[in-house]
Amino acid sequence: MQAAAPAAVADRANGRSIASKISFQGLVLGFAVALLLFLVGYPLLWLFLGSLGAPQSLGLEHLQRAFARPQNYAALVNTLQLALGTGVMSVLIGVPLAWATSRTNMPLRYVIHALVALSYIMPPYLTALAYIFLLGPEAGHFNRLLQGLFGFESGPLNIFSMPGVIFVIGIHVFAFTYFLTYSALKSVDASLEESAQVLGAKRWQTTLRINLPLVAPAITGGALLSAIDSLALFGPQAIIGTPAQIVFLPTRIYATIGSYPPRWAEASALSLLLVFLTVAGLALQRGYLERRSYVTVSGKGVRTQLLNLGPARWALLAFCLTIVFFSAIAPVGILTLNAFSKSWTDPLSLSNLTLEHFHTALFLDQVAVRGIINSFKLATSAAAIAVLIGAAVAYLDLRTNVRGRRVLDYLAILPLGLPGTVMAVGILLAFIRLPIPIYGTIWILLAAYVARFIPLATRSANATFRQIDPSLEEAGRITGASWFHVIRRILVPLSRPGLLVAFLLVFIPAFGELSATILLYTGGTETIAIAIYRLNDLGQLEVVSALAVFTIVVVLTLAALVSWLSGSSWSSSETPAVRG
Amino acid sequence: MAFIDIAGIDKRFGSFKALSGIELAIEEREFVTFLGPSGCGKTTMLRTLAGFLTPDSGTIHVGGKLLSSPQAVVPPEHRRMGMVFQNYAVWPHMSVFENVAFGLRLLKVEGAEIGERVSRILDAVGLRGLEKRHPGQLSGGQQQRVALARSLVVEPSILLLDEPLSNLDAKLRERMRTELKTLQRRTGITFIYVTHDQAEAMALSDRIVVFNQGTVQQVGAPRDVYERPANIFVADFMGLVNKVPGKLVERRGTSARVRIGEQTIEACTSDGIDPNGAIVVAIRPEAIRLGEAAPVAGNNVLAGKLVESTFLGNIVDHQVDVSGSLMRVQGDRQQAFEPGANVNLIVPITECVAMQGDTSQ
Amino acid sequence: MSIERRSVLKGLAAAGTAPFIAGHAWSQAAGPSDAGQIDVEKAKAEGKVVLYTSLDTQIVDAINAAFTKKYGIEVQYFRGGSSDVTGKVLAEADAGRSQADMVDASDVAGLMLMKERGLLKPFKSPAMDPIAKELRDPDGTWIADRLTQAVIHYNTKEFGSAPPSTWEDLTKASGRLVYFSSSSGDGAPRLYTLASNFGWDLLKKLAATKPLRVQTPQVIAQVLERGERGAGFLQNDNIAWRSKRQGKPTDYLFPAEGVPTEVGACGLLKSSARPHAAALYYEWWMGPEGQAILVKGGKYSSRTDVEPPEGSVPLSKIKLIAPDHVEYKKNKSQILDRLAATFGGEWGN
Ligand SMILES: Nc1ncnc2c1ncn2[C@@H]1O[C@H](COP(=O)(O)OP(=O)(O)OP(=O)(O)O)[C@@H](O)[C@H]1O
Ligand SMILES: [Mg+2]
Repeated sequence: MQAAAPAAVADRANGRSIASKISFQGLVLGFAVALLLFLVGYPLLWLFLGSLGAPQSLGLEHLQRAFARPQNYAALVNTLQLALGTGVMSVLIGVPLAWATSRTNMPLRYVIHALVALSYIMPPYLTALAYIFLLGPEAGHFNRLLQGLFGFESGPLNIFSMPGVIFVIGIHVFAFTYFLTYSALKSVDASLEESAQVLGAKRWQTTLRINLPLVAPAITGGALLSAIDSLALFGPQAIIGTPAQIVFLPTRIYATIGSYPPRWAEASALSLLLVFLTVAGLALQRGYLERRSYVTVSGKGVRTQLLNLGPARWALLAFCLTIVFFSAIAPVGILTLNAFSKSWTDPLSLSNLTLEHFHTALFLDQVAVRGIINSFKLATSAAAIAVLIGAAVAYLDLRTNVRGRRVLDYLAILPLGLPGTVMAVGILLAFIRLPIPIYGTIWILLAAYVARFIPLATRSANATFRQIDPSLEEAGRITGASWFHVIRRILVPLSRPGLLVAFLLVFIPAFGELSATILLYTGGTETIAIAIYRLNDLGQLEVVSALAVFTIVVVLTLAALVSWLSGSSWSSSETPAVRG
Repeated sequence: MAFIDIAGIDKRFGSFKALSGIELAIEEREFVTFLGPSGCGKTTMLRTLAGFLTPDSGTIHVGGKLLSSPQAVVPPEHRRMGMVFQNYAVWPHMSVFENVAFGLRLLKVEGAEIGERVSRILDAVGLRGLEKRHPGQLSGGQQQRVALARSLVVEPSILLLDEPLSNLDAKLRERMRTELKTLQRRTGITFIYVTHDQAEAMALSDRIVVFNQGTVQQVGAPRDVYERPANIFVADFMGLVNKVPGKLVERRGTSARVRIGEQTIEACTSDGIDPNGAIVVAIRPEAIRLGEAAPVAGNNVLAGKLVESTFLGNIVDHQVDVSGSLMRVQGDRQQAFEPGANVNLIVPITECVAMQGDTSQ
Repeated sequence: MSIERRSVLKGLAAAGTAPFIAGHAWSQAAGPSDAGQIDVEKAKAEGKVVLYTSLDTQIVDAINAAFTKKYGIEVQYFRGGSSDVTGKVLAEADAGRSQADMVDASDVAGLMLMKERGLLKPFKSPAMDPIAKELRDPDGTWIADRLTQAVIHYNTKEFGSAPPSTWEDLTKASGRLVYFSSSSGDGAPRLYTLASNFGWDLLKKLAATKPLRVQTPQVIAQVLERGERGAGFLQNDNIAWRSKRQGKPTDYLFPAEGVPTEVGACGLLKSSARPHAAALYYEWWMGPEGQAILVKGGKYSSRTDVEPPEGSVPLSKIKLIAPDHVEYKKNKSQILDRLAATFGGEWGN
């Protein structure tokens, strides 16, 4: 009797653990995985089928036709120009800025660094809107300033042009090059420079021949990421490009679906083209960085020496301030100013101040009010679901040896490289028909947001779980807790701050999402970005500004919370997420 | 004035004093080592010498020329010194050849001569045939040689080395030690070498400069520093040592009589010793022989009781109670004692150094 | 009714009798199929109406406010360009998830397409008698609610008393023109009407002036009010009318050689889940009360018994040019390509 007892206990324990594995683990993980396949895999499959003409037909003629059309060809050329332009621009402004904040004794380095982060966090279509106010051909403030200063007949600068689009997108995406170069420069040990110096190299020689080549892979990688991101930014492409009569692939896709009857096959084909560009760019960036990365040599503490620039540091500061003035201060400033002005074209004065636009935006305008409510609802639920799936994928990856978990992991990261427009086309094709016809409901937006931002949650959850020693969970199991219990009582509490960060990292871009939403919303499911976009079309720019300011405040507050929670600087929470 | 003359150097980082009152004279062709525990200021001194840091007070002259003073510092690129870093600092984006040729290019040396000089120096450091490799394809030791070759190829008159061997494994470290020494003898370059490994310092140096907490504790040839430590810190740092507390009975010149418990011994001492302060006698464990033999002239004999013996292979480590303080003795394998046995400790008077301080230091 | 007006109606009659796939049985539509069957209590129980419209939001808001005040039924609307509206209705129908109860768009071709797809519900109401037969679908699936004239709108500071008064005049105002068309081609039908009556050459010459293209007619007004451009062509008359009445430095005129008109029409969706509320709203929208508010917003009503907007020229005094919806619908793709070739940019094809 006594001898049999331990065996029985072991048996029971075994039985219980097997049972719980099937019931809870299997159920929870399986559900998350199914959701992932369904939200990411299924739409991508449809995107592919759609380009072949499905469901009406199957064949290559749609692809052929799409690529033969001059409109599409023009859009492709414009898109490539845009990518090239922003890539170069990101180097021209991102690299000097990164050098200034990482390697010199320039004053206000942290302020500049934070303002670059702000340029990136700010939804790019808001920057685009701001530049209509600032560089509109006639009434734009800068243009009027220049007219006043130099007596030009008309405003000398026109934002509605290819350089204009490149500029507006460039001052957003240069953050990629900046942050990558910044951390690369930070990780160049001073001894590498000093070695050159003792051999007789002057400062500039050291900078040019040691630092620059060392961080060259980071610069190239950053430029590629900037270029890739610029491909995807529907907002500024539409807001600046459309009035300028310049069509890019995302705006072209939008037009092929936005006009009636929608041309699904052509939209899918163009989406595939965009995917191809993105994937090619990412592969190039990956391959290049991996082969030629010098700066991750040692994980040891790196000593960096700040270059004493003497009086030249003030000149450098002036340069840096100019850049962040254009990329962050001026756009936020002008939107704020307009939101509080009775009329944006009138000069700033006390009598021109009003709260009326906020009243309209937050209480009166049907679309705006609905947009704000929908955006909060959608961002919250998308973030919650994305964290759930992301956590499940990360758990499978790190804590189990389930087969196919790598594929899942890949699938969960994949949307990171997919432009919002492309995701939206896939989701449209997938969910406009049976078995899940959720087009025309808010659910399709939820699906799109979860699918788009799941990589952010997955990566964040992965990083969080990595920091938790599995033995803590094993200790729980050994004391007799079930799998579910261990998850609830040990893993979840331990990873709560990390998962909260993951939640916010999804919430922030979802809150202002435009490029997918514009294709998926209908009456009643407008979001804040749609309200902004539509009211801008109608020229109600003051209300648009009020909504923009509201969005910026929400996004910045949450971003500050993320930074505080992860207790780190912006650069480490930086993710090359495409958004907008 | 010596070749390198360091006078009254102070260096502060904020309120923290990293160097204070450093005085040092180094001759040409000398191999001098800065030795001391981590954080004592060795690197700071070296970098001040290289011109990366500006002293808060004091001056550095090299070859009679003023290079550093609080007012003006000749920048590193104009000092024509070489420097080898602890982490090698080999440029990862250049091949071995390019790394080594870098300095020559800056000197505008002609292409053909560059090739010649680089291959000569690569031969010298044993890197022939690896010219085209990138640092990522080299072992730690090879990278170290690249760093060496890179600084030597420009034929500096002074080479500064900051713990160049600390990242290598023990065997390689010993081999490189020999090579460095040979190289220095052959080239006649003045080496200033930083390490916290006292064995390395003794093996390499003409003179050792012992640092502690930003000050120079002692300067001397390796044997001097080992056998005649100026203070407890140096004695301790240079190797295992018995610090026996005692009382000064009498002092005559450099010899003293010290009472340890009920026994009295003869010891060497320096001038600055205070008769009323606490006294410690430093005795290296390997200087002591155990035996019952009668005292020989020039030796002290201390009676003790063996507490424990530990067999360590090449030696036997004995713990002996001498008038209430525990002393360690390194005896040879043949000699065996039972715990509790009465033993005599026979120590040459020259091996007993009496100095100021107490054993808590 | 003037000759010109009749010509509009003729074009529309042709549209109405155009052949279409009528495979769908109208009779399956739920709820009232004529005004007499509307049950106000049921409508109130249904609680709300969803409208998809391309009408100016200020007018929509005014109509809705009055409707909600009277019946306590809330109106939710989606507002976009006429292509957006049509596109959304069609796409939602594809998904089997139609949201709208009523659709209104200033593009009859779009409504014709919806009818062809069997999405619209025939509805008969005596209140619609004052609307010319030619302005409604013989099957009653759609009915014109407004006529929008495409005018020349200009800044008075720039042109004073000598504004460009013909379409040809405009071609001289190089660099000073503004017009609208969204990227999905909302402005295309009226440009097509202009081209088919005065020749594509006129459009080429207009394009040669490098006109500024904006997304909506509302923005034309703002651009003119600010003086960024001097004249807008094919501006919606109601917007020009409003701008002038608000005391902005703009005015507008109807070129004597003929003004393209645009017929806005509305219809009820068969799939509506709120048929009574929808029909009630439709009645209100088309009835004297709704139309009066429309007119207050500067639109010409399609009803003969409703006055033109205050201070406006009566339609009988204007030479109207009817759009040929049938032709436009048939050749839409080529027309859009031709416009794209002429003006550049995105036209949705
Ligand atoms: N730039 C600096 N700012 C502030 N403190 C410094 C700086 N550089 C060195 N120190 C401090 O000065 C002291 C001496 O540093 P130093 O690098 O010279 O030590 P070290 O003897 O070389 O030590 P190790 O053997 O660990 O290399 C240390 O306490 C160090 O923390
Ligand atoms: Mg050091």
